[in-house]
Amino acid sequence: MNLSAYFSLICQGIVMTFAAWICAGLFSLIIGTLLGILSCRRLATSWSSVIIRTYTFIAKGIPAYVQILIAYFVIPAALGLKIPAFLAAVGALVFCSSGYVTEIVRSGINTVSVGQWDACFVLGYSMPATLRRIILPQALKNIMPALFGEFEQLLKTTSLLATIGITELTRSGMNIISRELNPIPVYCMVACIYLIFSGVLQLVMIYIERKGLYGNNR
Amino acid sequence: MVIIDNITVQLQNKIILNNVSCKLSIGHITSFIGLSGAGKTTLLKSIVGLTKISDGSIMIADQELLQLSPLQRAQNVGYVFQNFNLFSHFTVLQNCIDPLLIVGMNYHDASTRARDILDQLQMLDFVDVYPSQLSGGQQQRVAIARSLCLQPKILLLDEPTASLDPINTDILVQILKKLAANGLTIGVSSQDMSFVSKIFDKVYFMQAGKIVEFCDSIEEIKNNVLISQFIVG
Amino acid sequence: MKKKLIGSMIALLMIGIVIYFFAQKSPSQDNSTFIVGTAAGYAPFVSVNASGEYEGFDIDVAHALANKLNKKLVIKDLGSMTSLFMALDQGMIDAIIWGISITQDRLAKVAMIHYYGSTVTSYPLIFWKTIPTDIQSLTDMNNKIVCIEPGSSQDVVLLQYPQIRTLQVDKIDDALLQIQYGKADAAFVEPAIAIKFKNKYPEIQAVDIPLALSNQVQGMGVVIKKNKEQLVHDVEQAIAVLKSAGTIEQFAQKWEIPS
Repeated sequence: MNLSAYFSLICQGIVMTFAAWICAGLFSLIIGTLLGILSCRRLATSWSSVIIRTYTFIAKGIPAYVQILIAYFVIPAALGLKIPAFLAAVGALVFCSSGYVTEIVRSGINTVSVGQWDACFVLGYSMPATLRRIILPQALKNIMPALFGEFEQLLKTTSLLATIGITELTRSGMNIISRELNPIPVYCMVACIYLIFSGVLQLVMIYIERKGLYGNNR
Repeated sequence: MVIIDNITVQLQNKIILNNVSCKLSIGHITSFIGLSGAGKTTLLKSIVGLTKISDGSIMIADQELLQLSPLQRAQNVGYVFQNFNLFSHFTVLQNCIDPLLIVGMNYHDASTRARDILDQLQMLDFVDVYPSQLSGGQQQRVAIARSLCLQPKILLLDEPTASLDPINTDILVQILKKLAANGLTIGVSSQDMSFVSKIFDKVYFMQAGKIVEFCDSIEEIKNNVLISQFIVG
Repeated sequence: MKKKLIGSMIALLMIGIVIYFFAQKSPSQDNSTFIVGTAAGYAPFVSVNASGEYEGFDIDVAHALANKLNKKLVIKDLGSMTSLFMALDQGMIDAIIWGISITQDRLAKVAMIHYYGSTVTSYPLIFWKTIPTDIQSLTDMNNKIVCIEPGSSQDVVLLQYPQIRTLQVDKIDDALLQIQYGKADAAFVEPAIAIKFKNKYPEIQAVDIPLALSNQVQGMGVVIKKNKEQLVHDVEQAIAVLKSAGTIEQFAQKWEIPS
């Protein structure tokens, strides 16, 4: 079995998967958190609420695969732009994942008691300070598992990038199989690599929990 | 010194406070008593700006409440919630220091001031403890300390004895008397007449959004029909 | 302080990744290039070798064609049939060279220039180890499970046999696993695939199933958008030259593509 001959190809696949995953994950975390804050019960205005809910409805309602095709073919054509495949793919992943993150963050913020907002008010906290120092830390503690779950799901979704030609890990594996006709060892190896990524993610989550960045449990 | 002039508070078409006027004097403890729904808490909330008034004016130390910036307001009026609303993810010390860090104080000075105040409230031993690990009375003292850290001239407490046992109530009474003696203006809303009589100084009796009685001497209370009924019945 | 450091490192990482991928040059679309869309992972037609280079029958054809057209070849990997046709339609690529079978259906929508393959009058039905007695036509496979790749010509043929239970696999190479482990009774594939499987696994047995006239495929063709008449003309001429010079036949033998 000469899988070792394909070592550099597999590495490229790993790098591609990892890059897409981390990029999409970070951007969707930022965007999702922003939108989650804007749509929480305490801060939402009627129009912001409508816009954000519409967005999450669309982002969660369309399959990621379709979003990727739209981002790569439909949107560039409509705008007359040429968008590189990686950017379009990550963009689609961010659009999709942010929808979920928004909902997670919003519900997390809504579970923080109203009294905390009131206490910040009487103590003269500005809104950014209220969110950053008091509300978000408490909300984050509650939603950590859900956020990690979404991030983990995102990892698996990256394999859809294969359909627009991006040579991420799964596709690299399929390429090798088509040449060598050895599906079992290749799929096993690919599965192991995904599991390693997942495992590292789990370890990060446990580390953050242990370190108790946000203090004691209620 | 707080002067409340003819304020009205309306929430969803219901009038909660109806043309209320009263005064909180420096160095005195002013209590607001009455049944639930009389408007006591709403009145206190209006003073600190948690509830918006639809009419009238509130003067905080000769300044219109509405013209104070949030920071100015926080440094003038402190508020202790009935359920304390301590920051659960911060230790006792961090709860007191954080509001000071917000106004730009450096950590060292903030820590010194916070420890000083916590010491006066006998909570210095608990600086690294989390609120969830404290008893009700201890949590309240932390809440008071947190408010006092900004050195407001006015301190309001909403139903402070609602979840306190008699021993902690007495401790609270001592604290409030000492603060008043040091020149703080204190406002309290309560249904606990035994507590009110212990801190007695000035009392406003409220009913259905209006102030119906005012007393500032013990003898007057005994002669006051409405209030006596309230104590007994 | 530590959090700020981590935060700025993450920001830098993100910016770095974005710049890196933006810096990847996308093929310019001018008259000096011939952009061919294809998809790796389909040996022996197109795959990526261990050094990361594209190779295969279709790749060789693409190189030769670009040479004849006096243009620079740019290979664009689109990953799947859907994406290839979408890219062609939007002008992202000039042509598709991916062993695409010439069928009446497709000719109605796009221009196809035959470059290899005689009319296929039968497709192989492959089995693992033993062929059940007396399988001569597709009706003999009624109530049995047959693997196909959705969207392929074989899929289209089987639509006319509703009593055959089809098992769809994402890539036809996966069909190997299905018949090996008894999840399917047989697989209905391209002749080239059958040869590829047989070469690696002697347990593969095949039966050739003759096709009705309307299902027959007239070889494989270069796919070009119908309105690009000049390009269609140029490619037709170039292919004709390559054929008469025997170049394409050489490629076919090199990659063991059945005629």
